[in-house]
Amino acid sequence: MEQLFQVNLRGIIELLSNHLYSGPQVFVRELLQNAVDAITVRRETSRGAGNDGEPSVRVSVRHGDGPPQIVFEDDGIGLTESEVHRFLATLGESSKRRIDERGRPLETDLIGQFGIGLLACFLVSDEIVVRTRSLRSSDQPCIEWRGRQDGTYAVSSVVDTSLVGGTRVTLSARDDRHEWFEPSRVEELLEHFGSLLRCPVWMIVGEQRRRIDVAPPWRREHGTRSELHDEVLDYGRRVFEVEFMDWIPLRSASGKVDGVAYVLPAAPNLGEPRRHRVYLKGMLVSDRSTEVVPSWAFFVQCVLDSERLRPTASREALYEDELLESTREELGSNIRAWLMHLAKNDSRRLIDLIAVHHRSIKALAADDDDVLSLFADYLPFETTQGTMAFSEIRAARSSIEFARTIDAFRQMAPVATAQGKLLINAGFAFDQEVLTRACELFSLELSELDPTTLSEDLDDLSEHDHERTLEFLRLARRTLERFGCEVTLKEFRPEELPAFHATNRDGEFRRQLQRTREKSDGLWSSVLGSIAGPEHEHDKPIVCLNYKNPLVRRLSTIDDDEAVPHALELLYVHTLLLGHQPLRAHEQQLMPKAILGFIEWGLGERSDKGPLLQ
Amino acid sequence: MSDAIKEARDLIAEANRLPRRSIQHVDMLETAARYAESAGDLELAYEARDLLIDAGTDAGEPQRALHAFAWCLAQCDQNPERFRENALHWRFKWILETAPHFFEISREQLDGLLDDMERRFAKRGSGKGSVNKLRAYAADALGDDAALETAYTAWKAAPRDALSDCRACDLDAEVRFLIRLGKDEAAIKAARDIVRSNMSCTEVPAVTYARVLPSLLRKGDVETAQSWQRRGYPMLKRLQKKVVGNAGEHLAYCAVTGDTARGLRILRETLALAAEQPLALARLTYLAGAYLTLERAGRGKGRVTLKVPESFGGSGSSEKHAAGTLAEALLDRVRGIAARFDRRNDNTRISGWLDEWVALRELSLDPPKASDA
Repeated sequence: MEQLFQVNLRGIIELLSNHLYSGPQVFVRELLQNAVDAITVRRETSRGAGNDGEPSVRVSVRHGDGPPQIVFEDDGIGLTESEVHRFLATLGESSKRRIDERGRPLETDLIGQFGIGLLACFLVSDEIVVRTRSLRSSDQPCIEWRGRQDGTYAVSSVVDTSLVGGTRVTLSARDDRHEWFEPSRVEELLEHFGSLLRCPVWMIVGEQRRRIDVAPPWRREHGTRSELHDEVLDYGRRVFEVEFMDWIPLRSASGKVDGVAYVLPAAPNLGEPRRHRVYLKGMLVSDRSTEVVPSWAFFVQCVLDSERLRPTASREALYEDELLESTREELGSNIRAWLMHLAKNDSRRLIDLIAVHHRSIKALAADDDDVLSLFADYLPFETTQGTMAFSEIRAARSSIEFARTIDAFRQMAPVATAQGKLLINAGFAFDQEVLTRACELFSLELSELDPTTLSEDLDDLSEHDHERTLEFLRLARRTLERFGCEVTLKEFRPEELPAFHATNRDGEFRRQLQRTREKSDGLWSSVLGSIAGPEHEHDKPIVCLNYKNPLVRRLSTIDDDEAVPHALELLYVHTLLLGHQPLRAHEQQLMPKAILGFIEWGLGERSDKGPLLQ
Repeated sequence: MSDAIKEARDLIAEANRLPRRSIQHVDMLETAARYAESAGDLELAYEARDLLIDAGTDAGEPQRALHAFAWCLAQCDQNPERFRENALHWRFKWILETAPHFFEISREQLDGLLDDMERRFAKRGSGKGSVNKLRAYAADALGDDAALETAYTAWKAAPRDALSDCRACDLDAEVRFLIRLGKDEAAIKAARDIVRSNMSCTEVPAVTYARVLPSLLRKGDVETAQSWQRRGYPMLKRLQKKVVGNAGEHLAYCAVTGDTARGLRILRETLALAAEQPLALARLTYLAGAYLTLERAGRGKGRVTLKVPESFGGSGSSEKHAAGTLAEALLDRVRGIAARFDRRNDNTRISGWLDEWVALRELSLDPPKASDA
């Protein structure tokens, strides 16, 4: 005989609360949702039109002798007895799921569809009492359903003239959940989830009624634009507790979205996604949604309501589908259009915005030519002459050089500046992409300067000096060969700098690999050796000696096979330290060896001339 | 605090403020590590390199992630009281997932690394589950179906433990192994399980939707293929470089269904990123898909305007190409990659697998008309 599984409801509830939902507070949302959906169905079917007034949801809290109770009452369509059996007693069954002939969900005006909502109430209450009277036909009896957390329920017909049509749900606080039954807490949660609902929701405390659903400022008529502006910013202040700089209206046809993107008052952390507040059909789905706007929109925090996007089963996130994709694109173009409008009509506001959010604008400009052409001139870059707007850079130079990393920029800046170069630091996010495209746009020449290229660009020695230093250079190459580097002798400013160590990105990485190999065991060392692969000539580090430097110049004239190599070795270590290069083992040994060598050499000199100390 | 240490701290903070998956992020952390180490602050250098394992993996520079990992591991071995090795173990899996894609790394070295992992995992009391999963990945890239079957079976039989991947990732890995073992039907079934139960992780189901497309096409289920292609591509696009190889399967779908307009759009959106993709097997999948789309577009002497990156043999700027010629050039390139694998692997499995892909060009299926896209 076929048997049905017995499902332990308590276990399921624990599972839901621990894994599906973010916390017990969701029971308010689930009840609110059921109530609003019931009213929507009633409106659709125009049943119970004879009842007084506009259908609404009323929520109250009772504190009496027993445990505190919450009562949710709605003027919705209600349930018949057979519907009660079917929908309130079967997990996963929903009166709201509508599917087409191929089993795909249809778009509906209802919020819920998963058939697990009422269970959320067991997170705070051991017993749920539902009284309901269906409006599908007149003369329907009032049905009472009592469900308990042990999985049992009872259904009976009751006489309740106070319920003309609709549903009333009563929860009694579980011993450990009283805090969720405080009127102020309940009201806070109702506002949290339902403030954008388009259906009257009342919180009733004693004699007082307060309306929960309030049309947000962007949906209301305003006398003047500045009134609207102030009210929208005020709304943002209340919702996010942030004093925003500005706001951008949001509309999307595909996702049927309306809302606002608030401009953050300070540059955000680009590594952390913004947390947007997303409502579906007026019900809060998430206050930490990250997916609704394109990733380049770092500088806004949005609040929006969609009639069409789909929630996941937890109803706490959006389902990633093509609809979300096209909505995201539309919202992105809202923000972009606003920026374009600003660039054309309000350059003061634009400059304020760029001062704070240039990174975000760069992110957008990096792959949007229209935005780039409007904003390029305003975008700031770090250069060897301080921070400059792109307009200043292109006014100063028709060919532009940049350093790929912050480190390369720091290393090259003194030499590049002394050569009269204007070097741009493109080590920050999006700088390189934006520069590349901006230079294409303005037909400027752009090239990367790495320390290796810089060293090649420097002035060669005069023929005379070149002849004179040939032997010295040969000795230098021989001395430094075992460190795997090339030596060049050039003339450059600043004169105080005797030499610098130049590598490109790949050469730099090779150096690191070699260092780590020395510290690793045989296996890892061999693997690192394998990924390093064969060395390309261009990746070889260069020690670039400066013939303008008095020390180097003197060194080149000394004819001493002992002293000069020691000096060169020390100079080599000096360039490494200057470049913040951690030393490899054999480089580390150089220091004491070279110093001792010098002492010996010095003493040797002295001993010819008599005692060192008189 | 020395200037270099302050600078290193600032760079780490700056890197943390950046969106991840960028080269700049990697560069900042490498500089920070170097500055900290040269100033003698080993802890700070460790912090930067520890972050680099993630950054390099995310930015699609696994060689830098591997180096950072090796550095950290060496520090743990030398200073066990200062640095905790166990905190590295989770990332050890990422490192060994990408290592077999470097054909510079030999089979012996891979086995050595896997044994090292097994030893280190055993020391903390972990089972062989995770290691066997990685052995299966390695066997996959080594073109060793027998070893793949063995490791796959051993992995599935092992109990889950603290070092196991999440259910979504594990099931997606099964899809991958089943496809490689030629079990299209089982792969499709596993993929359906992922989709039906809404399982997700960072890359799942984006990569699942993609990788199972050729299987669906071979089985003639073009309806599911279409729906998964439409759902999967936007997800994949958001993940960028790390999974761009899987755009190859989308390209294969477009070729087989004759939707070359969509295929060319995908090519334009992914070609530059794919060129920077350092995982050879991922580049191979991608180029195979690109070949199929261009080959299809080239029938009837089609011309296409594309920016073909230099590392794929192009000029890097937007140019008109004869689709058929470009297709053949890419096929040469991808055969070259396969040959390098074969040389390292000492078999011809990867080339054979590429042939299976190329054979998809003989397949032509009409997508269902009623499309919601």
